[in-house]
Order: sequence, then structure tokens, then C-alpha cells
Amino acid sequence: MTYDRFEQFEAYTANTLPPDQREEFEQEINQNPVTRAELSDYQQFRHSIESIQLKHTLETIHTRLDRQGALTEAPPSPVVVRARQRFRPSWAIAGLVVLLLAGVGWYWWSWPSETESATLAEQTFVAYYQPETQARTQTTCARDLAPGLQAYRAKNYQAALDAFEKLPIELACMPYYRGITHLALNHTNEAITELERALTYYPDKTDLTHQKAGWYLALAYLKANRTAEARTRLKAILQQKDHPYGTVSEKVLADLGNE
Amino acid sequence: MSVFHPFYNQRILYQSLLAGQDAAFEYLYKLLYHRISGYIFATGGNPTDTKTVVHESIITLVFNLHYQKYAWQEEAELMTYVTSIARNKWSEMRRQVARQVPIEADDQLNNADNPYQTAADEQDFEQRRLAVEKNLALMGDKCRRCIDLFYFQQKTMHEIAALLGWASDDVAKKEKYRCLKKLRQLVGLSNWND
Repeated sequence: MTYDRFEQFEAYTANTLPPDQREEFEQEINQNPVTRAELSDYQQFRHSIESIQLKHTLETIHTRLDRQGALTEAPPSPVVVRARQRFRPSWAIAGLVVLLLAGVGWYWWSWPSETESATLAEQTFVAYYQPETQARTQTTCARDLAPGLQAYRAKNYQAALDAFEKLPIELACMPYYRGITHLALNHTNEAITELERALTYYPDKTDLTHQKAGWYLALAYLKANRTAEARTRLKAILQQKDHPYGTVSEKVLADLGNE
Repeated sequence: MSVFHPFYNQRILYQSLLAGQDAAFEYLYKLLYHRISGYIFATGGNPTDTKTVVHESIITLVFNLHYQKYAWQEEAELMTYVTSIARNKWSEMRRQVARQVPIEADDQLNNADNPYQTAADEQDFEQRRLAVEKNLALMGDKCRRCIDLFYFQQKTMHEIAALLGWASDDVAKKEKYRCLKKLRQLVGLSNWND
């Protein structure tokens, strides 16, 4: 595989190919078995690398669940299953659980619509939020932000915030990074304040910092159950051609359903 | 206050896994572990086997999600899909070690309610991942750091160039390509040619 081809695969995977080039490339994949085979080989190799970290994550999860006793339930052998099936009190307990769930279900259904909407907003936030770990585009942010950014990417959000707050707010990208760090720390109101400020500081809608701030602000509104403001922000993203969060914003709006 | 876990919603689970959220992986891990462990025990496996099967199945699932080998279907449960991957993985492991197990034990988790035929499409990343990890450790410091910074720490090429003292993003990209070529060579994969 040539260097140019490799870079094309990397850009395609990172979703950074411009729409026309992406369409052209996808046509080539469909029509050319050699390209398809090369892409498949690249994807498997890349996943072999990336899965090293995923494996470590799974090890951590295993250790955590094991310590909590969440994995230590005795695995049901056929004999144990039959024995349990004959144990009548377990049926009584199961009945009670069903009644309890029915009661909870009734409670949930009868809850006012405002709260249902709040729950949907919260769930939507959970589904779509991820810390800014995938940014690949060249940044024009101040170099002084580097220690804070490093802490942020290491998921050490409090250290990141401490580092950012030592620096003047006027530095390039500062309100944006303070905003997303507050969001990662569940400081929703502070996140909204900083991200709104970032949009004011970077009014150019084609500026990447403005675009990212708009997306995270929409998510922060969702987290704060301010669904109407989140919708407005998401619609604003959709109006911008080639916005990096255009496709996902469309999905979020669809998930939120009708106003 | 919601009393339902958001990941009960299969679409939310699917999207959260795609987004790489730890909470989604933990939810899936626990569910898959409990769903598959009884079957593995009944067919001669042990907790270590269960752990391996769960890990490798989730790694395969993530590949299929990222590279569109799994297409979202409203009516189908993601858990059914990953369970079928796990079952195939365990069958493969048993074949490899030629364990003697009673055939009737297989009945506990049969294919009857499984709408997927995944075995032919599945990739086994375990051996290749182990080879990549081992050989990555043998590479030069800059190459190792470059791969780590890009693929694990998600740094931009601009940041990587600054951190590793390369003159520009373009130089960093070419160095990364060169490092990956070298890694492929060490792992024993086909060469990439300029």
C-alpha cells in the first residue's frame, strides 16, 4: 500500500474526507475488489493496534466488576438450574418482583410529561457524549494549553481544569477547553457559561473551535434538561454545510423526537 | 428520575459503544459475562476461558461496529449478536484445545433464536493483537511513541510533530507510515510498498 493510499484510508476512517471525495472513494470501494481488499487489510491491522488499548480497558472493567462481586455468581449447571426450578419460594420472590416492577412501571407511565422529556434529554446526553478525544484537525489553540490538554486526554479532568484556570481566559480556545472540562466533571452550569462564551469569542461559524463549542453546548443543554435550547443549537449546526457534527446532530434531533 | 438504565435501549447502547463510552462497555461486559458463563462452564470451560471469550467477543464486536460489518437493525438485539460471536469464539477455542465435552451441553445456548450467521464474517484478532503488542515493544522509541500518541492517546499529527520534534505535520504523517510499515514487517504481515 502506498503512502497516499494509506493516508486516504486514515482520513476515511477518521471521517475527515470532504463529502465529494468520500463519495468518490466509496464508489471505488464498491467497484474495485483490490481497493476493497486493501481497505480490509488496513482496517484489520489498525484494529489489531487499537484493540491493545481496548483489551486493557476490558481488563480494568473485569477487575472492577470482580472486586464488586458482580462476576462471582455461581454459573448455573444443569443440576443447579433444576434444583432452583423446584424451589417454590423463589417463585414467590419472582412474583413479588413482577408486582414491584408493575408498580414502578405504572409510576413511570403516570409521571408528568415534563419529567419524561427531562429523562429523554438525559438519556440522549448519555448516548452521545464523549470527551473530546478524537480531534484530529490542526489546532490554532495557544501552546500554553498543552499541560491542561494532556491532563484532559488522560481523563484527569480536575488537573486539566486546574491547569486551564491558571491561564488567562483571553488565550485562544481557553473558554472552549474550560467548558468541555467542566462538562466532563459534571459541572453543567459552568460548562454552559464557558461554551456560550466560546461561541461569542469565536463568532466565525467555519472556525473549528466554534463548531466544536456549538456541539458540546448542545450536549450541555441536554444534560441540564434544557431541551429547547439544545434543539436550537443542533438546528444551527445542521444549517452549516460540512459541519463536522452535522450528521450526529441530525441523529440527536431525531432521537429527541417532535417538539 | 428515571428508574430504567439507559442502555436497556438497544439504540443507546449501540451508539454509546460506537462512541467508546466506558459505562457502555461495562454494561455489556456484565451482561455478556452472565449470559455466556453458564454455557462455558457446562461445556468444560473455566472462569479464565469465560474472561477470554468475553474480551475477544467484545473486541470483535467493536471491529464490526466501527467498520460497518454490523448493520443496525431495529428489531434485533445487539446482545443476541454479541452472544453469537461469543458462542462461535468458544467453539473455536474448544476445537483448538480439543477438549472432550458432552454434546448435550451445547443445547443450553443453541442457534434457534439467533438471527445471525456471524462465524464466516468474524475476525479473530487475538493472535494478531498479541503479535502487534509484542513487536511494538521491540520498535524504536520514537516509532513506539508515535503509534501510542496517535492510536491510543488520540493526539493530532500536529501535536505529535511538536512532541516528537518533527518539523511538520507532513513529516509526522510520513514517519507514522514508516513506523507502521516496520511494525507490519516485524509482525510478518505483507509489506506496504511506496
